[in-house]
Amino acid sequence: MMIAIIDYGMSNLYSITGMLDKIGTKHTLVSSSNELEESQCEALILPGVGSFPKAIDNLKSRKLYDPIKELVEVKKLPILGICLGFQLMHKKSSEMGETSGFGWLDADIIKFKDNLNVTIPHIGWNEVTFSDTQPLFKGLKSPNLFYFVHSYHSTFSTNSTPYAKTQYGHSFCSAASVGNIHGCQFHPEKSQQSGLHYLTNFIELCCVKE
Amino acid sequence: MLRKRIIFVLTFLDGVLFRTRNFKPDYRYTHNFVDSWSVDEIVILDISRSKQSSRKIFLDRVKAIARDCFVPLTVGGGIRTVEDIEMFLRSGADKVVLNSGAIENPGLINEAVSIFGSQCITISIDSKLENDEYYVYKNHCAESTSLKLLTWINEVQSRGVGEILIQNYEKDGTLEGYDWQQIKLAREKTSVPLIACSGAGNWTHFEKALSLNVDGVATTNIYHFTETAINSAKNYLLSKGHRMREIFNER
Repeated sequence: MMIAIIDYGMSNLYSITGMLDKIGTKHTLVSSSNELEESQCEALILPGVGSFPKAIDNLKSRKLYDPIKELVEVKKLPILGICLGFQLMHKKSSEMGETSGFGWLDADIIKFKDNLNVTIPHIGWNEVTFSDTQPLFKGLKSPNLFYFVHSYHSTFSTNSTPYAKTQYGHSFCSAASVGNIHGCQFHPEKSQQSGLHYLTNFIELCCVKE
Repeated sequence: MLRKRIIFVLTFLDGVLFRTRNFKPDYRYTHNFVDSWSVDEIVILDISRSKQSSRKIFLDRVKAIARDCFVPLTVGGGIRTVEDIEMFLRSGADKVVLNSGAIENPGLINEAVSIFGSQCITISIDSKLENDEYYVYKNHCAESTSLKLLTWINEVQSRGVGEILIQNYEKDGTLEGYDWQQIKLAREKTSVPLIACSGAGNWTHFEKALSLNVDGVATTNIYHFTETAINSAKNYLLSKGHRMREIFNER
């Protein structure tokens, strides 16, 4: 099975490719619509570090935005969004004005408020609480520690069980799985054993879909 | 709850991992010593005096570490432009550290934050006490500046940095403990995560710094913290009531 890692110039890809090598999955970096088509991928990883508007700009200028949308919405390929990649899956973000995202996850991205009595950005290892029904957390004990580095977060309600949550000033949605759409605010590729387990679950889930 | 971090600082001189004392290299060892499974984050710095000739080999080292080290990597040394930052990020850095480059051109902070986000930009501040006032130094502490520590902390925060790492180079490699007075002063003025660096010689130094409410404790003296030593340090800190990342029981 081939995993396409979307390279739009705003990600540290070494740890993701390193971890996929460790898992033993074939993967390829794609930075244009041609490369995406030629990859004949069966699943996608959308990483990302940086600002939301710049990411959308880059995806569009590399003509990756629409092909990704089609693979995910029409062909229903499994996709994992990591950090900014997870945020891009939402309807819109308020980072530097308002920018629309892919809209697969029915919530917005907003900044942590200043009055929460915590340091912003949220940087470090924090607890993620999840239910047994979350496919990518299968086999992991809840809560578990993952590495975060971000100033913006999802507005998903954390009361509904399909979403994982994390407490930082208040509770926020730190991961979600809805159909073929998977995303996490934390960095599994930086979260050692827990992250390796999470990514392995994603790969196994993609193989089952075959 | 968010955990406090134990951070290793690896310093490279012309591509070779070095230990330093007062920022001068004095010992060689390899990165195999690093207990990369229990450390929470790694900072990698190029301390070569001539960055132009050393940079390629330095970034190759970073790439090699990034490929099989699944903890966050913060990388710096001689960053002067947005293009430098891009090059570092493409070599496996998750965050970058600015120091002299930001002192010489503070606008670089704003520019970098607008492109890469606050969470990506860490400022490292070298300062030492002179006549009861902490002053900022640049270029590996070779040059003094007229900047006061607290003034500079305020300025970099207003320009949007995501994290501050502070150190007194007179403590570097001494194992005597961090500069406690400097940490106290900096913590009062710092609203972003604050990392203490330079001087840690044992676990009690970590404990004291965490009691002063820093977000992470860094050490360059990784040869003192090999094998299971970080794990033992964490157990000690946990017993003192600090929230640390528990190791090997994540499943």
